[in-house]
Amino acid sequence: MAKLAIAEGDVILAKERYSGPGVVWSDDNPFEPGKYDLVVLYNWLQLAEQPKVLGLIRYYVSLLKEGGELIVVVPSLDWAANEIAFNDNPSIAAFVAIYGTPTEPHRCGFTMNWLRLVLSQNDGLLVNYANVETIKITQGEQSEEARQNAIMCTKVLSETAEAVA
Amino acid sequence: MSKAKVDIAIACSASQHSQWTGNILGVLLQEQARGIEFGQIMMVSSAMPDFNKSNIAGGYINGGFANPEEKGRNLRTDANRVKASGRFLSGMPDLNWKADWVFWIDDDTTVPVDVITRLLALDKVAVAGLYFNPLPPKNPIAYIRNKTGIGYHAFYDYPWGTLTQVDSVGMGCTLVHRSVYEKIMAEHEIFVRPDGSLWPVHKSRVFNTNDPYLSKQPPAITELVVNGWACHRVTKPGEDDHRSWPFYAMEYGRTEDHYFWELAASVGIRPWVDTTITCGHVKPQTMEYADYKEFLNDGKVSNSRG
Repeated sequence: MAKLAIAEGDVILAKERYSGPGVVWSDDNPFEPGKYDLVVLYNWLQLAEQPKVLGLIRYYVSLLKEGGELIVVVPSLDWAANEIAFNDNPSIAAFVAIYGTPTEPHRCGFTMNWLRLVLSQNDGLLVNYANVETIKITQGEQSEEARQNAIMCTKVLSETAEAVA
Repeated sequence: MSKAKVDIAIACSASQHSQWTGNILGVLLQEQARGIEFGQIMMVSSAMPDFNKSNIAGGYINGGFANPEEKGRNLRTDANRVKASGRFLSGMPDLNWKADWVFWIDDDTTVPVDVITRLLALDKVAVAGLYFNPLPPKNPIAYIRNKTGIGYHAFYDYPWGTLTQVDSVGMGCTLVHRSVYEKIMAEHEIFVRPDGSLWPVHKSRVFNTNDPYLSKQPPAITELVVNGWACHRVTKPGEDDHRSWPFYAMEYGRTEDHYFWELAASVGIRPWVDTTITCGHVKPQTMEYADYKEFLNDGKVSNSRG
């Protein structure tokens, strides 16, 4: 059965990574509420101003069907802070993780726990995976490793939400 | 919505002060107010309130789980866990009680308030909180398989908030659904090794040879089991062998938790850990999450300064 999906942020990477059997990427514009099986926010949330984050998440959750999945991937502030604090020669990627780039400045940031707490604020959203992932960033001939916080959630059926509450 | 039915199993052979029992069981049982229905509290062998008395009583305790036929083993954690698992699975038929979940806690771990409620809310069939090794490298008692597939390394230096799967985890703060045990039983066959120990083998790895030579060897060999490394001459358990299903064993110099999670892995189940649920590990010097972080950060500072 086809899974209708949408992606925001780094759409090319998101599609590369989360295209699986049965996943069909939607071209909808605008998106429609309650229609999608999968929403991927790939390096997207940190571009929003901090007070708008909760509202944004609620909006994307509203796009999901019951039982649909939300995947959020952001640069890892835990990793970036550790890299800068404890490494004499921290990688440039750590600074990019915090500040972003001139064309895409980061307006907020997330440790794993912050991200998990923000997502858990949404009733009916069950966090079912939260882990740090290593990626390789290549610029010209240089390549560096960076870490991302990735969280997957399910929009649970109302009966499950009641039990979890 | 029906209440979650939970048994509590305390099976570790650590020597803990009797205050643990009242305090920690009190913390757990107050979760009834959150809609959890508790059934059996299975406190096995040395995990009884007074370790010394348990030691003295040893194999003579017949009313509890300690079995006189297993002298010398009743203080071992694997035997304790096997007994508790059997009791969990059979439930209390007279009361028509069978729990859906068993919460494993050791008598040297201290758990946060609402621990079972929080673990249940994660909606996993096998999920654990973390406690820490009191000795360096002070690692969480959770492990990832080495790349070679043999042995484990500790799950270490993760971001706080991580909720992920590991390959093995201690049983000191672990919630397991009945289906995990049932699936393991359904997909394994039990044999008896020449030394008399029980050996569960996944059915896909059992080959009935019907070899005329083997079948004439004493004792009557009914099966040849290939475990991927070697062939063992084994027999089927006799009809009078009423030992509990061997979910746990301290074999190959390892603790019994690895054994269980390897059985679970062979039926496609890996445990989850929620790093936001941390426990104390009560030893001569109690080990807590803060001690682990301090150790980790000390290491980083000294490394960064060469």
